[in-house]
Amino acid sequence: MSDEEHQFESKADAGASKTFPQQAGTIRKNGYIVIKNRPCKVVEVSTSKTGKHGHAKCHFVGIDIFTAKKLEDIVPSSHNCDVPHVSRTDYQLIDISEDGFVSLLTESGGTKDDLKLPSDEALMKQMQDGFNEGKDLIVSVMSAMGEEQICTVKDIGGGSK
Amino acid sequence: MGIIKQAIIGCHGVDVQSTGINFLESLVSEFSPATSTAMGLPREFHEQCRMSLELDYLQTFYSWSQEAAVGVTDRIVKSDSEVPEAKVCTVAMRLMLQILNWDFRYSFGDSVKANVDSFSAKATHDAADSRRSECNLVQPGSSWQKILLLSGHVGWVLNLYGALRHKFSLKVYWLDCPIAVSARKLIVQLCSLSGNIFPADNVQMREHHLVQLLSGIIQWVHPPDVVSRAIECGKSESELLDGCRALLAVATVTSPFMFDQLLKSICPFGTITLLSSLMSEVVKALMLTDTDEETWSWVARDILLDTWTAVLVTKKTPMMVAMSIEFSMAVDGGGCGLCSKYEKVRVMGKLLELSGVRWNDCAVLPSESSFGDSSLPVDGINAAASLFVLIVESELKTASATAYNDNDSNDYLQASIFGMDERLNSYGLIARASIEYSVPFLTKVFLERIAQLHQARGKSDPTAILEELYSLLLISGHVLADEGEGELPMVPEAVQMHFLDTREGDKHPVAVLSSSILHFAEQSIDPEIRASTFSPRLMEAVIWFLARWSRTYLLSSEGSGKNDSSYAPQQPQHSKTVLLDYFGEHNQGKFVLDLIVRVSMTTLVSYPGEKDLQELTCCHLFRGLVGRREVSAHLMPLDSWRDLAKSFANERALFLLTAPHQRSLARTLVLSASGLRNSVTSNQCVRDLMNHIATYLLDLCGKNDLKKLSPQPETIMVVSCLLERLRGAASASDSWTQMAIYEIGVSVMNPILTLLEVYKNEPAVVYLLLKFVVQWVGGQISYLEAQETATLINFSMRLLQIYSSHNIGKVRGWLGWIANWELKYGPMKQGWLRSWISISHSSTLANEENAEKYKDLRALIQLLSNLCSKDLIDFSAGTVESESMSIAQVVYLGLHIISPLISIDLLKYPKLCHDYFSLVSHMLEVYPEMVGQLNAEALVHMIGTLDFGLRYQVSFPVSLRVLAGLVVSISRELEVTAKFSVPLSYTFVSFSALLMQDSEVIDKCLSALKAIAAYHYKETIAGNVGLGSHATGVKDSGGNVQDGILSRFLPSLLQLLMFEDYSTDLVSAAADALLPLILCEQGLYQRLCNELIEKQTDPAFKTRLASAFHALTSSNQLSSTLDRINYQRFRKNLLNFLIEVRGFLRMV
Repeated sequence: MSDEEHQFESKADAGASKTFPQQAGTIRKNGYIVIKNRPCKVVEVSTSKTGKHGHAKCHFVGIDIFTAKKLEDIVPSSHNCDVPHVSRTDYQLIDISEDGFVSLLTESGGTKDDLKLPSDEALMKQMQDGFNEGKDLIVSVMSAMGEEQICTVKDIGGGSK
Repeated sequence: MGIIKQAIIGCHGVDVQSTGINFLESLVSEFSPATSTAMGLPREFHEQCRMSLELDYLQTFYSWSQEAAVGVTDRIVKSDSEVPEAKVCTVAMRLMLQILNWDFRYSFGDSVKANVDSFSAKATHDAADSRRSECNLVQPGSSWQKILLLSGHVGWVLNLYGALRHKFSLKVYWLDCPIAVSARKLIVQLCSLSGNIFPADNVQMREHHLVQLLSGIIQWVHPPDVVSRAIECGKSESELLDGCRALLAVATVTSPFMFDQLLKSICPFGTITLLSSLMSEVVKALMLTDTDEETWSWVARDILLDTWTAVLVTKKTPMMVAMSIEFSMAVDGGGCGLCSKYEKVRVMGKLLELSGVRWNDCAVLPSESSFGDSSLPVDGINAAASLFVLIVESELKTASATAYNDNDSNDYLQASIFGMDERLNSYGLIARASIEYSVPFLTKVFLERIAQLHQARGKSDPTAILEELYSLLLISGHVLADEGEGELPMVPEAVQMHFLDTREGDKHPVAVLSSSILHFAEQSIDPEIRASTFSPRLMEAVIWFLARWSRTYLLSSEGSGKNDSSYAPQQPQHSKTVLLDYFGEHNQGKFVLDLIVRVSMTTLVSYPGEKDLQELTCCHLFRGLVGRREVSAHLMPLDSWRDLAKSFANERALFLLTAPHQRSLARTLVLSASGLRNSVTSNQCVRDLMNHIATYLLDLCGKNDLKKLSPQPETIMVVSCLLERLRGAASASDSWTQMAIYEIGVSVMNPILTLLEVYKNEPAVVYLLLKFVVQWVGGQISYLEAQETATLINFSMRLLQIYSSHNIGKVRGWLGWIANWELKYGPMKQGWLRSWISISHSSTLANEENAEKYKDLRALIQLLSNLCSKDLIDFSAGTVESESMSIAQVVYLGLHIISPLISIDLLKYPKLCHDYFSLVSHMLEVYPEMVGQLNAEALVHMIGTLDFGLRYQVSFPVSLRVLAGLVVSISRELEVTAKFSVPLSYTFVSFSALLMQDSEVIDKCLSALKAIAAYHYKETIAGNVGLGSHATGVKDSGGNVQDGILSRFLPSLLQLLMFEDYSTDLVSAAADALLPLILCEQGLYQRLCNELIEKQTDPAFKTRLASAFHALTSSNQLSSTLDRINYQRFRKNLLNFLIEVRGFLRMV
């Protein structure tokens, strides 16, 4: 365990501008953190000490925001952690192509065609069904550390709800 | 009866005899508790059986079992092998024990009511028994004197056990064989005999009884060293433990003096000496064992510490006990005497609270000296002193032995202090009993350890010494000062009563100890020493000590610090005055305060990431400092405090504190500004403190690239920090600083609305924004003039609109899932299942957003409630009526906006539910005329929620019981370790908090109901429409006739009152709602009554019910008006009605 805690400082390289250093002690549950070079949402924080008179350490459990994998890390609470810059953008769905790519309408009026359908089955089905029924769908795309993925779908027109 | 008697006396042989006794035992145990097993009989039956058993049969049963036991004793004693009679004797003693455990209620000579009040009897019992479970007092009343005291019963059981002890060596019986265990238990139980079984004019009888018991018990525990060694060699510890329990029982029923004297009449030493040497042996045994498992010495230590507490607590507050005894005499004519002093002290405390006298004020009333005989005798003090030395040694040894153990998370200071608190309190009591020895001793040990620390510095690992210092700080804190529990603690009485010959403050032993600790704390400011010595854990103890100590001694209003040399040396106040003067305003006080501030500044800046330490500093130490006017007035002028304020406003270092600490720090600083008591300077201080926030937020919102900037983590972090600070500052508004905080709030109004737009996808920030507005409005509204109020109201309205435009429909989420499920499979019958699902779902990641929404909604409701409070508390000069919009309109509009977001399922969050119903009931009470103007949909929604609120409690306790059961069974499977027990107990605490809230919710609903019904009744009497179509019933969209709201609530309220479980506190609220409902819907009421009466099958019950209904509406000159007197009469009527009928209507 104690070997792990020093790994962090050496790797500030991964997308340096896409993350922000923040003291481990101030990162809260539901916040974001980079664990093993993956952007995660923090689902659990606990603190412990190395021996009674040692310094506090934070134990983070995070869920990768793209793959939903569980990751864990232990960091001395006075040290800095990388916090990913996570943003969400809403687009209107224009088209779903055969090969699983979607076409989205950007705010400026252009299209964005580099995203695939989400890997989450329920969400994918919701999108496809809604699209096939001719509903107007707004998708929100989450991006962090150079990765992007559709995370929610909202239907704004002609819906039954 | 006759048959059983014959059986028990032994006419049909040994087996029948023990079966007979067993039969009686199960009979007694069925009716002993207030609850019963399910027999399908009315509640009343249980109470009647209880009373009849207690008054007519228990003594008979006892004498039978006595007879049976005595009859077989001879054979047991004479025989050298085990005989079947032993079993008879065992069960007989078990029956006696069961009978002595009975909760005697009718023995105080009260006039016994013919009609058992099963309704309130249960409630009083629950309330009284919730505390003090360690030692039950046995108070059977004077009629038991003959059978228990005069018949040689005690002598018999002691002899029997004595005889058994001799046979232990023969291997026939052993220490833990059933008959020995029962005999010991019976003896312990007899020790706690008290009350008016002892005649008030015959003290000797009591003494004789206890001495006789002690003479038997002493053989179990004396000499302690021999006994302890025997146990270490494998002898069973149960006899020693029972001996300790007996001592605890005796200590509970006697005064310290009497306790000590008891043994002196048969031994060369007193009981306290025995207690002390026993405890010493136990502590020694503790020191030898270093396992983490719970050993006999742990158990014995805890029982003995309880005994010390029982001995010493009465001494600590003789005044209170004296008053309580006088009080109890006054109340029940001397009937109870000493019997249940704890109960009486508690009652006394309540009374004092009511009369506005603070507990502490009463404790220092100048008449302690007349209670000299209740203090410890000299050898008792010596015994306590040597025991304390041993305790400290043992604690230090444990400390250094465990210094290297790894901590798991629940072993943190907070948790460990709370966990150890009871033990430390007892240590504190023992130390205070011998205060003249213990304080110098603590000083000596403390200085020794510090010297060792200096020697060790740089040469060897100091960890063990650090842990020892940690323990010493905790112990010293408990000896020197009390926690206060929300009130200002006084200088402990032991300190006041001793050290009377010390005249100079700096020589006072307490001051010497305090100063050496303060001096030690000061060293933490030096970075080098801090790095080598002051570990976070040690620092936690330092801060904890400073917080506790400063509340009692620092800059007290009683200590002027001036040497007015008007000492009256023999006055008990003298010692206190010397101390308080020494740490007072004109002596060391400011210097010490400055020191404390500098030390705490260090903890905030130089211990990054140590949350526990910072929490102690912000929430514990600072809160205590600014909470006292004398201290907070001195804070702002201090350079060190101003440094703290400056770095708060200008430096980034303090941004690293976590959110709650930011809030609490901001609050502390603002409060210290108002401590100046000068609105000009106070307001200026607050502006200086807070301006940076407004500047930053305005600047941020003015930026063109706000959209790009805002989602960046660093921006979010800074914004959150600043909002937390604003929130903290807003929560500290008072008349001195209100002006500045209002200005700050106004200046950030626009940024807040902008941020609400920008951060609509960041629930955490949205919540902070709302919470700030809530706090700000709540703190400001009562001070504002009409114009300012209008600004505030408009702002709140815009906030509400923006929020709802982003969120309508989002809240439903999975709640929709339940709705779908119900559509498919019909309503979920088990309310608990729904709530269980809702609770568990809301905590999962996927639905975290919903949980956030719930918090938002709650904040919005609080905002509306805060707006409402303007109606109640208004310090402004003008009135608001002149404005175009009245508060009522705003709040109704707000409710309209919010209520689509609130679903019944969301109301299952208890806190939200609570806030929502307080708002609704307030609105309905104050503005019932608005109901008529609501549209049907809004009204139906509101009435629906009210209906839910009334049933709220009914479904929840059941669900909670199921949940609790679930938790227990799950935890059993997991083999709960100590680790789990903390969260578990939290779960239970929150459950009980839930239950508490239930009755409040119902209370709120009832008052809302009362408001609409009373409004309707008064209006219709006056010839107006009142609620109009809402009351008479309407056709809904499907063409079905909906009942009017009032006729819907009448049956459900009656159903609740007569058949469901609820707290008796609700009866008067229910009466207030029921009366106008009955008056509005007389026809329906009559019909319901007749239906109920017809349903009764038993003719006796039928007549009783009919006459009860009759009395409900006609006795006490009840009229058909709605004035105060009539409400009062009806409350009485309803209570009597329920007492009369609930006994047979409710089945158990």
